[in-house]
Amino acid sequence: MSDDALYVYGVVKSESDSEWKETGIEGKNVYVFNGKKFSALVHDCKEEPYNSKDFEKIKELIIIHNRILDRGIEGFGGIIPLRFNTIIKKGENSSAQDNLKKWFSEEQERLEKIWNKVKGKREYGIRIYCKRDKLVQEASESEEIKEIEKNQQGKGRGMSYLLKGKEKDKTKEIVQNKINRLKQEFYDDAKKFADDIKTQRSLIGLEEEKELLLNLSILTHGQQISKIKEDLEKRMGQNFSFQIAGPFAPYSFAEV
Amino acid sequence: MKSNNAGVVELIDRALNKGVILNADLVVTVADIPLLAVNLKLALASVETMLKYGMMEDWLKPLSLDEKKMTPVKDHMRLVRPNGKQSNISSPHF
Amino acid sequence: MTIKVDSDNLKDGLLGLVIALVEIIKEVLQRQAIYRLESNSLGDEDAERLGLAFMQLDETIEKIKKEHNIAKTSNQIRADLDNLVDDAINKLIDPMLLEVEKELENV
Repeated sequence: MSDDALYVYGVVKSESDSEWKETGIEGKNVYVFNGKKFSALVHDCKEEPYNSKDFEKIKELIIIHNRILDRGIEGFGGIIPLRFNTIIKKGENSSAQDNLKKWFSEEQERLEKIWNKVKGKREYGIRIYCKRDKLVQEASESEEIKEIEKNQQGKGRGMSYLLKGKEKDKTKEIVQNKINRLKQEFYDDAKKFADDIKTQRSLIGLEEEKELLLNLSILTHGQQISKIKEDLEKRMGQNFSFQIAGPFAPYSFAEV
Repeated sequence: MKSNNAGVVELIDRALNKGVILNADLVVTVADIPLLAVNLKLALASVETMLKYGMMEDWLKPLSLDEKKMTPVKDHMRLVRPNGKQSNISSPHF
Repeated sequence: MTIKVDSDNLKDGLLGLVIALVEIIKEVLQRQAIYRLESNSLGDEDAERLGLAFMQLDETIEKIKKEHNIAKTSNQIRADLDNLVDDAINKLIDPMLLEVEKELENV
């Protein structure tokens, strides 16, 4: 199999021919492929996806993919990231290059919109966690709960048991209300200095012993992220914490 | 770019699941090889661990691989649905 | 999304499921009792008797869990059921989530 397919890392807007070059996945030469208004950062490859049973290998490939995107941002002031492993193949009567050019012209309007949105900006991931059991402890020391506990004095065993159940429910409710309120406030804090914000629906936590409450992606300039960090730090309080990952190329905002 | 674990996992998630996608007829993948949606915690684990939890069984079956040999061929990346416990799809109510 | 009943030992798997359900029903009934107690449609004496009955049920459940070593199974089933319900409710609240899931299934 010859190298007649194109691995595409991302799309940039480039009016003139560019000298930009990098070394990418498997040491391939990554270069600029020009369309009319947009260009793609590509390398020539076989019509076969990059793949491995070994996740360490895949991690490496993705890191390289991402490094090229970062270099693209440096070279062109922005980039529209493509998903990892996007390889354009040749058609019956067309080369991969023809197909890419065709795609550029068909998608020009959409690419223009995305470019205007993401150029000059980066993506950050914000994960907000809580320690629910500590929050439960905190709630059990509140006035409301103390009141319920008081009412259990001098009652029979059965009645006390019922009231204990009520205490547990009430405590849960207090905690959940606090969490819901703070989630909204955290979200607003992040949104304030962001150009755009997206809530990731998957809530796979990355911290042991902590519950993931919010998983946000924000699009913003570098300076703004420190303001967001400041605001979040002020609002966190005990039993809540957050992590900011990034900057990344704007993967989550590469759609209209 | 962050070099810590959490940062890398976030990166992997984005590179695999976000970014522009092209039509299936233009690209290699999709039609031939299903998309991979990785349980991110397992992404940090080794292949042996994945086998232990039965998450790669379908991966191996269609190719009739001898598990002992584990010869990687044109791999099929399977759509892995995280089990109920870890994928709590919940939407904040704003 | 599935509820995993441990197929290695079907008897315990079923038992785990039954226990999980009994626990859930007990909790619902308990809440009903408290509600009625507070809205004064349940007298103190009756509440006391009910409470004791629930306590006994609790002890029996714990005994069964210990004897058959299914605490982990039934807890897991409870968690899965919780997620199922959460999921269903969220989909009712946010129809877009339903679309996202459908899309994932088509991939």
